[in-house]
Amino acid sequence: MRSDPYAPARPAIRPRPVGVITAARPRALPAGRVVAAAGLVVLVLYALLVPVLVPVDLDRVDYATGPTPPSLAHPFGTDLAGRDLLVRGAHGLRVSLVAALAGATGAVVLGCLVGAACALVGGRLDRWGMRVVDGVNAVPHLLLGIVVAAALRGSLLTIVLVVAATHWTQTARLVRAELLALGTRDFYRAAVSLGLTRRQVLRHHAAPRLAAQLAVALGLLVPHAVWHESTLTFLGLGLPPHQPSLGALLDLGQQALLSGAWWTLAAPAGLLVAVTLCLAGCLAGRTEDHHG
Amino acid sequence: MTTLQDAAPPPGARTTGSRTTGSRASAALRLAGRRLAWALPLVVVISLAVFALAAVSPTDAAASFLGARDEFAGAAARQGVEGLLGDRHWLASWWEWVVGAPGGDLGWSTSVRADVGAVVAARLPWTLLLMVLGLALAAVLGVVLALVAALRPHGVLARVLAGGLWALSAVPSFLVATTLMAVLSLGLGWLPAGGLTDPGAPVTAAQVGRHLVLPVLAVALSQLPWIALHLHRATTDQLRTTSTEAARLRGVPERRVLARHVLPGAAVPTLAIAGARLPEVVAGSVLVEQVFGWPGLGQGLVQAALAQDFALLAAATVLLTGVALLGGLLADLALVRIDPRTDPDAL
Amino acid sequence: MADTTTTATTTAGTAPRTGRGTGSGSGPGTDPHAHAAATVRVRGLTIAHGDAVVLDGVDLDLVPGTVHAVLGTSGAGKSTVVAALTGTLPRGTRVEGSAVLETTDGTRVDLLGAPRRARRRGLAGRVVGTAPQGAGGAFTPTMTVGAHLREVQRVAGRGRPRLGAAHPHLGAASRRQLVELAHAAGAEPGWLERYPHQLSGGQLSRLGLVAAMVHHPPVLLADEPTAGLDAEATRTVGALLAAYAAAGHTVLVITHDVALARQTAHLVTRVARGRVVAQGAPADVLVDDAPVARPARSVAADAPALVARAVAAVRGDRPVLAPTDLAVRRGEVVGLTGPSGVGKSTLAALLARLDPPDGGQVVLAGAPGPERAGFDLPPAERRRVAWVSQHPHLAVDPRLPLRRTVELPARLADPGADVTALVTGLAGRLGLDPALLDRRPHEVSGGELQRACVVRALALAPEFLVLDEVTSMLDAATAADILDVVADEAAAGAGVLLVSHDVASLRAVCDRVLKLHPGAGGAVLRPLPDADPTPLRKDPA
Repeated sequence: MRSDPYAPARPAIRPRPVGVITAARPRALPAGRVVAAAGLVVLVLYALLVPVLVPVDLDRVDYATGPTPPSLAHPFGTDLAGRDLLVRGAHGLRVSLVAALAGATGAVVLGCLVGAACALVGGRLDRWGMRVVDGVNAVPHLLLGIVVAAALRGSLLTIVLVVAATHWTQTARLVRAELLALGTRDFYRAAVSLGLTRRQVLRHHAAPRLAAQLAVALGLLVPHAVWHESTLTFLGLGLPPHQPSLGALLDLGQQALLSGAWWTLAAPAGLLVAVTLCLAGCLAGRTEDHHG
Repeated sequence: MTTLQDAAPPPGARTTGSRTTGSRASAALRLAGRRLAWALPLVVVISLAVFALAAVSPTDAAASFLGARDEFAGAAARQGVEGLLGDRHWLASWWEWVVGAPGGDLGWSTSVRADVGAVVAARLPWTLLLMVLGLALAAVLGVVLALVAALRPHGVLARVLAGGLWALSAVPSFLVATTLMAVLSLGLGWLPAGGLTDPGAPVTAAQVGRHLVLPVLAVALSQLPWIALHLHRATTDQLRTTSTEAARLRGVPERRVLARHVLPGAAVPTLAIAGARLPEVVAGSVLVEQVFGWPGLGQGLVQAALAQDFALLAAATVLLTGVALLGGLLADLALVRIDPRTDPDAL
Repeated sequence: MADTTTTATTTAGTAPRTGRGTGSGSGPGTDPHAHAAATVRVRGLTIAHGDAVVLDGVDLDLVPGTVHAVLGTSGAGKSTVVAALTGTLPRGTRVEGSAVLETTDGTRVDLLGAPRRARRRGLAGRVVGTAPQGAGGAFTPTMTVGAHLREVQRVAGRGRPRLGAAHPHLGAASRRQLVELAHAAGAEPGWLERYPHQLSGGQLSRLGLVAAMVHHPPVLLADEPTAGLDAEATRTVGALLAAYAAAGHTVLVITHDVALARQTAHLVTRVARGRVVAQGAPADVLVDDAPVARPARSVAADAPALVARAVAAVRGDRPVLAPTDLAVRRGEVVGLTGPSGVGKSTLAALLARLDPPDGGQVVLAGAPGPERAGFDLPPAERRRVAWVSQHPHLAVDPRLPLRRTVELPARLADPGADVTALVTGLAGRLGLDPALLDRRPHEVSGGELQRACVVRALALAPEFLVLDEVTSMLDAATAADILDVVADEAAAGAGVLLVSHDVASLRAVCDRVLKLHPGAGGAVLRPLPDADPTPLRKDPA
């Protein structure tokens, strides 16, 4: 029924309907990936170096200067308390990235454990495990986060717990599916007839494959975790104000909007969007490569 | 267990697999019933989790109820409050909540200081109005943009759209909402910045309509990227299929080709992921409500969380999850309606 | 179901009222209002895409009452002919030459130059019916087949056809006409109420042709109408095309299937690398292509064999395979065929001892201990039987370069061996450029990948080969190369089970061919009876 799906990979000489030969797809080109990776490096360096190079006392406030728009002295401007947003932004990015990385790692580790347990033990554990996965997926993650944060109050640990507790499900599915496919997928079956032992299949095929997929999963989770942290903090349920995460800066920025200080919102918002886009851009297209 | 390789069913199974409309309708009903049967234990587990979390919460419920008055309240008054809040095991509180829930008795909200049932009943319609209008606007915009971009894949518009939507997908909905408010309301002064009506004004259609524009726009814009990007991809794929090409070669007019051959096929994958996306739609509208002070359930949820008002928190969480589940069910039913290949019993 | 049957009966009764051209074989001219005929002359058709010349100076004459088959391997450029005639070439393609359609009432249309709009409103479906490649996909899954056909009927309702080639039925859009048309094509009326996924590939191919024939266009273009179909379905589709031509229409068939061309065509044009290499009557052009049967090898009855004794397979509650006996002896090639989905792959996997059978046992001489399968067998024992999958892309690890994929099993089997030299030699035998081995799977074609998979299997020097549809997705050249090597391996003493739906190629290579028949208690294995080579075409009056 299909037309030849294995047509030779020659230049496109097979006729296609006019106008739909190469539709623009929303995925980054290799050049875009390079730009995204470069942007990510710049952002991480900014978060790491600026707080070191510009040592300021974060708690020192100076209401006399008040909010000043971006200038040469303060490229991102200053906030209502006269604090430099370039430095505050770097601190905020640092806190947000740490929280996101820890949360995403926790989610991937938890997902691996659950997925592997479901696949390897099977039976009732597998059925119930998958039911729990469905249940967690059915509840809006943010709602779960709000409930947990409401009870435990904001701290870095709470944010990490919230992210890990709500995002382990995709990884669990992934690991379970890959392990179960050991028996059915054609290339594992080929490995059987080629005389590889289970251990060799795991070592040469399944483990590297799974590792690559987990790396992508982790990479995709980090921007999502940044989003979660900033959202919860923005709502007042996340990190306490003395830890200036991006979400806290955004919250202050929104309050400052009414006084016309748009840059207090623009600086952290720009950082948040930039870090999300760079992370996503680095991984664009990776998912397809590895699900082969 | 035997693993079998042949993916295709035998010819006999293919042809006898033809379902009449009647059996398909009853299968769709079964699907709805199965989802409801699944939602019940989920609700139980969620509410149980909220009450358990309330119990482990390190903060003092009485203190948060008394608020600033806590410092000045005498020991007797404090005990009275604790008695009112019920210093019982959380399982007992939960059981009371569960037993009362079917009769509409959802407990007492300490933050709003009103019956939770009444609070929820007053707020849920506004949330539904916001979500339905926002999603409908996003869907209409998404279809138009996807079609324009897919039909002129090399056009400037298609490129700008693809890039712009991709960037927009990275912007959290509270930022979309805040930016809209900053530009359209605070900057240009075209629309009110928040609330259901102007302060003190009666709830009239004109008032609500004016205040509804920005929140709906915010919900629509934050949901537009995934709808438009998925539809665009599906439409592009669908335009390349043999079936579209074949319809054109049979002389079917282009408008009909788009309406009957391209769009239904493109809607199928989009609807299939819509079910998984709806929880995020709910989450997004919670944030939009919070930013614009829209008196919906989402705003109530955030207020309850801030005030550690667990009775309202449980009710709002359960109801919003229910909204997401219902939306997912509707998306799946639409999928069953559009695509005859979907088996309602397998969804 | 009941009412559709009634309709079919009544329409069959009243059928003679209309010119039921397609199946009855009524020749042109029996009815003065019957189908307008049209001739298409293609001269010097040259198509280039970028630097690649896809077609180079092709001449074709399409004459009423005949089937003209354009034959060639995949990538030969033959499908581009249809794209050029229907105006669906990709943007930026350069086209030279001419293609003129001339109807009997004197209208002339330049098929290469017709503007898109005119094509859609006047030509498509009414004068030139086209069944595009992949007939199974010619229907939108969200509509019933009948809805597709009614939609085409309605096209005539909007505005008059611009070219005077209308059929007397036009305007009388009725379900009856569709049922008649479908009936003539050997399609049951009930099929029209079904959705495409509820029909088989063969049924869809026929209905795809019916959809192109709704307006009885004088010219019918069919691009690979039998791709992916089994022999029986191919024959039905061939009969439909032959009958349509016999009714006075002009039919162009693009195909890689020599058997189809032999059965249906009056005129065959062979295309290779964009050029016409031969043109003429099938008997002249196809003379080289008669499958040369290999002399049957005589294998000693007591040769070591891979034996399945009463193996059965069950999926869920449904029996897939009834208890089956099958023996493959060393030195012989056994063919296994059957309709798609019948359980060929299941039987192959059982024989390759990938899966344990649900009944019976698979025995290999010299295998120790109780019968086991999959990872439970010792590795050395598993290497005695090689298994190659139908889908080369699924059978390799997409992350690894081909060389590692191919060499790894041999290295693990015997760490001391010179695997590189062995693989290079095998790749040479299979016509695989060793340089390609340094690429990753997605960087080579399906044919090259399948060759690599065969190299990987042969590098372990297996005693038996179980090849599951290894050639079904490949072009003819790759398939022939692989089958040659398989024959050599058998001559060198390997036992081969070759699974395929292509009976002709099985007959050419195999010592005996078995066929799986679907049955209530699971599929049943029987020897395949001899072929029936009668042509389907009717010579024009």
